[in-house]
Amino acid sequence: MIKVEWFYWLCGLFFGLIALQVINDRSNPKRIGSAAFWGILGLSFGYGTFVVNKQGPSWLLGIAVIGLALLATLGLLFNASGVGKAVGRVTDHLVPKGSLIAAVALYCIGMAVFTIIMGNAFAAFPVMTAAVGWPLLVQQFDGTPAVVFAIGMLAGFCGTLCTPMAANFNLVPAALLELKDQYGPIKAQIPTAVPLLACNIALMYVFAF
Amino acid sequence: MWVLLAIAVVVVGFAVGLNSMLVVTAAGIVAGLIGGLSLVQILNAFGDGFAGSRSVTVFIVTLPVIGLIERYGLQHQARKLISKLKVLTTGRLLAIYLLIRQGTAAVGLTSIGGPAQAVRPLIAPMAAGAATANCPRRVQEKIKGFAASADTVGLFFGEDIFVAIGSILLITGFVDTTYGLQLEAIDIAVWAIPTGICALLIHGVRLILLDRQLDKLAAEADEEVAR
Repeated sequence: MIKVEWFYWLCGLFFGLIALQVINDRSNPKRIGSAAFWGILGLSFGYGTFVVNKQGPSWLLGIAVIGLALLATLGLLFNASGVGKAVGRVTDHLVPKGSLIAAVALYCIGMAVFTIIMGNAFAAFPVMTAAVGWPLLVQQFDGTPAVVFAIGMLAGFCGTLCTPMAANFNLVPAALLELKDQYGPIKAQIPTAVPLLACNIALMYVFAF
Repeated sequence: MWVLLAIAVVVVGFAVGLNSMLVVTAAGIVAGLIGGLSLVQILNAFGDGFAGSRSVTVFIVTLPVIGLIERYGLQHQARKLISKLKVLTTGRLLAIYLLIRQGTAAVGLTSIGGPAQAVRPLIAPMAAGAATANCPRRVQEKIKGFAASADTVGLFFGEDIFVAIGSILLITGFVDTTYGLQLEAIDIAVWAIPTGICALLIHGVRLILLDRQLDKLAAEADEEVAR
């Protein structure tokens, strides 16, 4: 059986080869630092297997990752430290009492804005749902949960289209296509994301209540 | 409430133009410290996060293969082939790709497209080949940006219609455990369809209108050369 971990080891090996190539490139003034980056990245891919299988302590990998400073981990830490509840307290004062459209707009725009900041709608969803989606839209206004949550997540995706924090969707394609302007894809996407966010607010308002 | 300082760190960091990885890590550490996590807990969160999100990087292993087929002229062939089909303008081609990308993602085939395996080797050169014969640099940049956007928009608003995709399982998993609901994946997936249709219409129309923008850009570039 082929296991997904094999591919991570293959990626690790690939990064290791890059590290070797960099260290042998004597014309590169930053070759030691660059080689260390690729080397640590490669080793982390292999060591990750032991962390997932609970065979090795994860703080060791944490130290390596801080060295590499990885984007994808932000949401996890935000959640562990209770950002959702804090946002809820702020939004309590923002919504005019009893206005359904304001609450719907707050949930959808909040999803988009949090996604833009964190780069990941998956990280924004628990935060905004705990703050607005569940207490206001479902409990207070009696919205249909499936519609509220499905469209709420898609409102977050509109944010993903606009943010350099979602590096794998927006910056990686620019690099792969060798664009001079690394924000080229984002610029092509923002004029779609804004009207689509408005559509999501309208759809949720019409179908969920 | 002070945890929100972490967001301020992100905003300020990006405003000052620091390296984005550095900014995000600093924000994460700030959030963790203020939230009362110990140093080891923060490191553990980083480690688990990294190990769990390695899948994002798997596309790297396809790059050597893409490089090899490019060396043998795939991009060139794609461009030559498409320039013979006059009806297929850049905008129409990308609109068709958007439709295909969204349609296949909606039935769960998310790996058919993607920037590494489809846009770079095939879609971007085809879109450039469909444009006017001499393509100034600015036109090329624009075409590539829109080629990437067709792929991303199609994926995002197609995949959520398929029941076994991460975002839907996250929604049901989170609300079912946190609020004791019993939502099924299919309930969520059905309600992704209206937004999917809106996304297809909005971005499709913008792609078709792209042809006019490209003509204008090319004409401007010609004028600059004439002067």
